[in-house]
Amino acid sequence: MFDLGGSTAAWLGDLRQSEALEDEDLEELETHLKDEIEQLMDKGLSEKEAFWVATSRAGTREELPREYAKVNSRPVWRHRFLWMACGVLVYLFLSTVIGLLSEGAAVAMVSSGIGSDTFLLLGAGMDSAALVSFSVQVLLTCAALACLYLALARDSLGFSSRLGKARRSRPRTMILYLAAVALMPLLVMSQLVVHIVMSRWLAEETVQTASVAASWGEFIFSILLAVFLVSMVFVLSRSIKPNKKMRLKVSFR
Amino acid sequence: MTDDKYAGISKDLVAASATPLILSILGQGEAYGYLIIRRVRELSGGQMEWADGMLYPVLHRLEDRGLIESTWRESEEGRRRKYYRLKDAGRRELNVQRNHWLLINEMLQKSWEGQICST
Repeated sequence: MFDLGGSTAAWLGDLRQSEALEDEDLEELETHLKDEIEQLMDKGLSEKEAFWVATSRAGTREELPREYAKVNSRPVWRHRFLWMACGVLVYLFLSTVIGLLSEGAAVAMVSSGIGSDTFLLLGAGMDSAALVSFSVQVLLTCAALACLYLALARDSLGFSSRLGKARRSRPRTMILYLAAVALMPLLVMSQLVVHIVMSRWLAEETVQTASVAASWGEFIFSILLAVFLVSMVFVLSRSIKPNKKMRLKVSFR
Repeated sequence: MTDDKYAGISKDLVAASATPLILSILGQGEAYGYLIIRRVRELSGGQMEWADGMLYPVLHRLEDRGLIESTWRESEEGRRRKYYRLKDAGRRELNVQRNHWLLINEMLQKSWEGQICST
């Protein structure tokens, strides 16, 4: 038995995934679809036939969002900013955590006495503490990027579709919001606590050596990060296709 | 029911005629999207059919240009619909477009006078 209501909802659900269509657009299309189906069923088509004819007349789920995106630039941009803001948040969070861990690695190396074998890089001294600190940064960043990529590419959490619907005020959304706001200050505070503890408990020389080593690690890491990010911007900007001209699809019977 | 006489009309021509068609249909009174599509079907004698979903982006663009305006209203059957209405600027634009299309039509007619049509 064909479920007209369910099929219509599924068809609209597919379109809802697109950022180019706002709620109002979806409502307008829904009414349109219902009108069309009613008309076709008056002509003697079955529910199933009417649904298929009506949806194929409306346009495919690839065409429709593309046409709407050309007019609705505002929601498209709102969505892009949303992703950018999420990206900045994630970056800030990751860089603070990874910075803290790599600094910890440098301190551990120096205080255990292994990190004093100086070798030359760019004419300045760099020791294995710096190298370890750098490696920790690279490894953790790669791991975090891989996790993020897998989570988003597979979208196993339904993240991208859930992101657009966050406006519904559920208590869970509120808790998530407060947690996200509290996260950054908490992280920076823990950084502060670690620094205070280090300056109280470790020898001054160890702290200084470790901080120089960590700075070295950070410096080399920043070169790597810059190369990676600029290359990514370069590659992505070349792979984006230019917009096609606005067209109406037409068919003749 | 295929009619070769009209097959293969260029998409550019369809896109170009969309605005004057919509404006002139709305010139006869306010309408919602589905009515406009049906009217286009009727006017073309069923020969020309738009992909329905493409109509709405065009309507929204005309609204952005200030040529038409829209309101949500509930119809008699209790279905909420978005009605589009021509604004004064739209009426002026319709007149301009009308003159342009009449001119082109006239030009083509004159150039075809005396020529033998193959159909």
